[in-house]
Amino acid sequence: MSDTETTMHESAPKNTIGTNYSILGVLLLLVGGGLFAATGMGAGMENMLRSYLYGYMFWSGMTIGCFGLMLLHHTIRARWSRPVLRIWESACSPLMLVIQAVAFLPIAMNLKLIYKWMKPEVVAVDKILQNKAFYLNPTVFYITTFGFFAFMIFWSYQLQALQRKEDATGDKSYADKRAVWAPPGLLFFVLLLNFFYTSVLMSLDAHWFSTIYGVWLMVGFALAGLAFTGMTVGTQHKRAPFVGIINEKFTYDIGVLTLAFTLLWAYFTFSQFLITWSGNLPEFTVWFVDRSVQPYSTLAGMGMFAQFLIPFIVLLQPASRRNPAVFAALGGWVFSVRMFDFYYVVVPSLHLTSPNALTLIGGLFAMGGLWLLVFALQYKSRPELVNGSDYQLAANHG
Amino acid sequence: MAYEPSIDKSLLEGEHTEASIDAAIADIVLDPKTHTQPAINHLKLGKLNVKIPAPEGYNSPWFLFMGIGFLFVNILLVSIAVLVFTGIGIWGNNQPVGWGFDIINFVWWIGIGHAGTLISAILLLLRQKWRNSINRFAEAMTIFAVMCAGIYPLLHTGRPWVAYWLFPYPNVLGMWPNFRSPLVWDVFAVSTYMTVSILFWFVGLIPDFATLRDRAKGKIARVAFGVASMGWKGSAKDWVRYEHASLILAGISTPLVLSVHTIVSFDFAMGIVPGWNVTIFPPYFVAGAVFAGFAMVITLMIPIRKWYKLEAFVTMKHFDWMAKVMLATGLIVVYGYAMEIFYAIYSGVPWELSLFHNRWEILQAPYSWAFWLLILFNGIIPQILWIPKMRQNLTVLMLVSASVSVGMWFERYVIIPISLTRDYLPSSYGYYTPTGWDFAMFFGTMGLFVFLLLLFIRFLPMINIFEIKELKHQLDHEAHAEHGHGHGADPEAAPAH
Amino acid sequence: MSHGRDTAPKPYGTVAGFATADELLAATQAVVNAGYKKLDAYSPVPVHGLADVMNFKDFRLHYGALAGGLTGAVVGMGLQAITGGALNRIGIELPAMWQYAHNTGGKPIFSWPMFIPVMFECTILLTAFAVVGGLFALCGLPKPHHPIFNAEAFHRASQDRYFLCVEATDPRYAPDQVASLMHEMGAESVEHVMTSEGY
Repeated sequence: MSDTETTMHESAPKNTIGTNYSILGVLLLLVGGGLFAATGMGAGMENMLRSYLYGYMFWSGMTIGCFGLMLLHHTIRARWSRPVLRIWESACSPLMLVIQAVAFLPIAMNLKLIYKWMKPEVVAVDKILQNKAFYLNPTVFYITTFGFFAFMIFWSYQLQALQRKEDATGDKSYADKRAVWAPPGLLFFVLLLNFFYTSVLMSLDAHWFSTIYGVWLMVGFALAGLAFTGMTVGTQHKRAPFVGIINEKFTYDIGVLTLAFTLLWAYFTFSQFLITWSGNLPEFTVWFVDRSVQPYSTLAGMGMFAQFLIPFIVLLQPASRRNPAVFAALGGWVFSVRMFDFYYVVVPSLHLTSPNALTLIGGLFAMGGLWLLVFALQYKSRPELVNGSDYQLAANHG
Repeated sequence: MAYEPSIDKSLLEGEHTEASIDAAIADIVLDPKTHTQPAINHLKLGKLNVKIPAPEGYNSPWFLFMGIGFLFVNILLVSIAVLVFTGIGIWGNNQPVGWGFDIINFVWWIGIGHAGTLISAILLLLRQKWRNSINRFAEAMTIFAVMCAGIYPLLHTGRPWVAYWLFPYPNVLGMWPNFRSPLVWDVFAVSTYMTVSILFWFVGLIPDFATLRDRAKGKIARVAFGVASMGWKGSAKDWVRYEHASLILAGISTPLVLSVHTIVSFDFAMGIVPGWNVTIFPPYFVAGAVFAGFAMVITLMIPIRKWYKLEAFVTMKHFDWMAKVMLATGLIVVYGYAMEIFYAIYSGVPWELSLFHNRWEILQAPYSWAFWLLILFNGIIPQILWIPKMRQNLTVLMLVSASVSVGMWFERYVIIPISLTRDYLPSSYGYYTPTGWDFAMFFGTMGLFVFLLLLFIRFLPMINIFEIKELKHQLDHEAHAEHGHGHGADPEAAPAH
Repeated sequence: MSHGRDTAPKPYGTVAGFATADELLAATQAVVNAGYKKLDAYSPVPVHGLADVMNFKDFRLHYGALAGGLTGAVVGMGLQAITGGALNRIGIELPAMWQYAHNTGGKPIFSWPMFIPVMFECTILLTAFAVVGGLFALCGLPKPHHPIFNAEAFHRASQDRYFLCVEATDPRYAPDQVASLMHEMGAESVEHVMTSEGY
């Protein structure tokens, strides 16, 4: 791939992000929905709901990851990420979040079918679950989940409104206002996210706990968000308005950030495993014991290579960090691998009575279709670049 | 026209030429006259104005603190001698608390050291120019802090003269270390960290040694710096390799510094003691180390910058950045405390619940005072740094940094004796009381730290001369050219503020 | 370097001093354009773009670092696996002195996850040795004497002056032509430097 040319800026063809993702979204929604319904109907409500949880949590994680990246962007007043801020904003727009919250209702209304701690006969004979009842009950569940959505909707609305005002007026002082909102937002985000994941995912294994769990998932989804971003703009870098903006400097920076998150993910994953493995206490090891059978042990091994080693080696090359094409491919790769890894993280804890990978994949695709459709609509409905994205173009023109 | 300036102008204050930079930094080492014009020779204690006694030709604060440092080095030496002749029974460690001040202070010192590597390595990779003025000093701090840290486990072995047993080597016993033990990992991590830090530091010093060699008037200084510079000529070819080496060393130091404190956290987390087998320990220890390290850099930089008139190089912008890093890492640490407490309650497991009880219950639990002091020093006081004005107030910064240093010491105190005295069995219930020798050794290592730092200030350039010149070049280029297509001065890296 | 033991001073090259990095850059460009190959520039700070002008590339340090790192990883893991008795398990007998199979915490003899920390530290350590050793080797350090130090003004090369040296080994080297080119490019000082007696 040759370097982008700034002179092409005006004449370049329009980007196809909105169109591509709308089409892909509709397609995935139909295929995934069909697959989910066809394979899930016979397996009973319990299995269907739990399979739905996997797909739902992956795509809500994409929103959460992009929300975190947006908060990080405004907190450190990053400049390099301006060209892709709109992508993150679309992924965590208030509308997207409302849809996510609505899509959470099937889970929230059927806690009894999913969670062991909702069954009085189980809790009655389990001292530990009785001790945990102060947290593992529907009230706290609703507060920690819908409260988290409410927080994200509010903060997302504030930050995006301030960004929109800046785009409309060109007044750069709105950045100061965002920098006031973003740091406390980041603080609340990390804290509330932890309770959200504790309620929804960690409590699937009612006895198990790990203090790093929430942060670990957050890093994983930030990585997925970055990969999605790289994949999206990496394929569009010759089209307007990205020509000359998605250049080698941009890919260098997103490459470094992706490398950092890859390392962080590997670091958390490995240290969590090592501490649990070394301690060898039954209440912790149960989580890994569930994952020591096929296909999960293969997925774990694959995670090491596909999710860590390959991106690490690719991103370590300065040459590949400067190439949008490599970045598009790597983004696609990491994004896909994240789905497998999340399968490893979530599915064994679902304790499906008749596990069917097709139902799980159907749910994942259907939710992905919905997510991409909403994303595309949101992306189309606003200007593609935020104010000041083209600072490099301006600099190059002199 | 660039959208925004790439490098913050306020990183270097005033007008400088290369010669004036040399004079300001190198002459602190070369010219004894800079020590005869003390910036401070009076100590204000309320209404009292005490003159600091110092012989002619010495910088007064330097002499005063050197004296104090030397005194405490002697206290350290005495306590080491008594310990070696008597045994580690002179410490307060005893069942159930086998790890007391020695490991607390070890972790504390190692943590302090981490800011140096962070500043020199991570900020180099991130192309943050504000590191240029403080990295040399912070790296020196790293090395001295690691030296202080290393004393503790070495002496805690009880027989420091056979410390080489810790390393794998073929021996007549046919014994090899147990590589599953985090304590063996510690040996590798700390010795690697020490070695790599010294190499990185020395490589950074070579061009400055050449500057000192060429500026030195006295024969001894010229020969000494000539030997140290190893014949560096500043050839363009050498600079290319030099920059590659710096970047690679920075690249490997970054994971190294993370691994060192991760492994220190494994010392605890690999065990099954309640409150130690915690999966968030690695990142939370690393954040705590950076937190403590930045606090120490601020604590030391404020007076030294004043005494040696380095305000032009270490500006308020630097303090602002350091305070922000301190605030951010402090929040991560507090998040760690919150998660420990939350999951102790959430677990529903009796011994985890008792851990919560032993930290939280202010009236019933014997160590809760330490936990609440920790929350005060690390959790509450640093929050004042949210206010931008407070980050510009050196007195506030000094006090907050001191609070953080104390708080981070209490963090280790909370982790170690509380967990060890409230284990699975009632038989391990106890209380840990340090002895006078514990304190003598602790303050003694502080004295050693001050002593070494002052020697460093006297004999080596405490600010990286060539990097400051480079910064000046970049600033000049940006002022002149509309937009120099700079290699080092990448606009994205410098946050717009 | 010549192989003869003739130690009388010989011409080393022509050294010009410049006041700024930009002048040095321009002068280097001019010297390169004039067809000189054997040259080097000396500066108190790294001057970006200078290596490109001189067509100088050297990535050997990167390969050295990679080699050091890989060696460290293999040595680190090998050390732990072999001394821990892992070879015995796969049927390779070693003298008892070389291994000691700890059975701790019910962990397997080859507990690779627990060997990662030490392997990692060994990787870093050997990479650092390779980089610093490589830097010294490539830059020829330590080398207390070099003919360039015979230039009168050269002590400022580490402070505030920028030097360019066209070496006498260059086939096109002609002292006067080089000197006039340097003056043309605004040199503050131009010296013809000899090697030292005995070198």
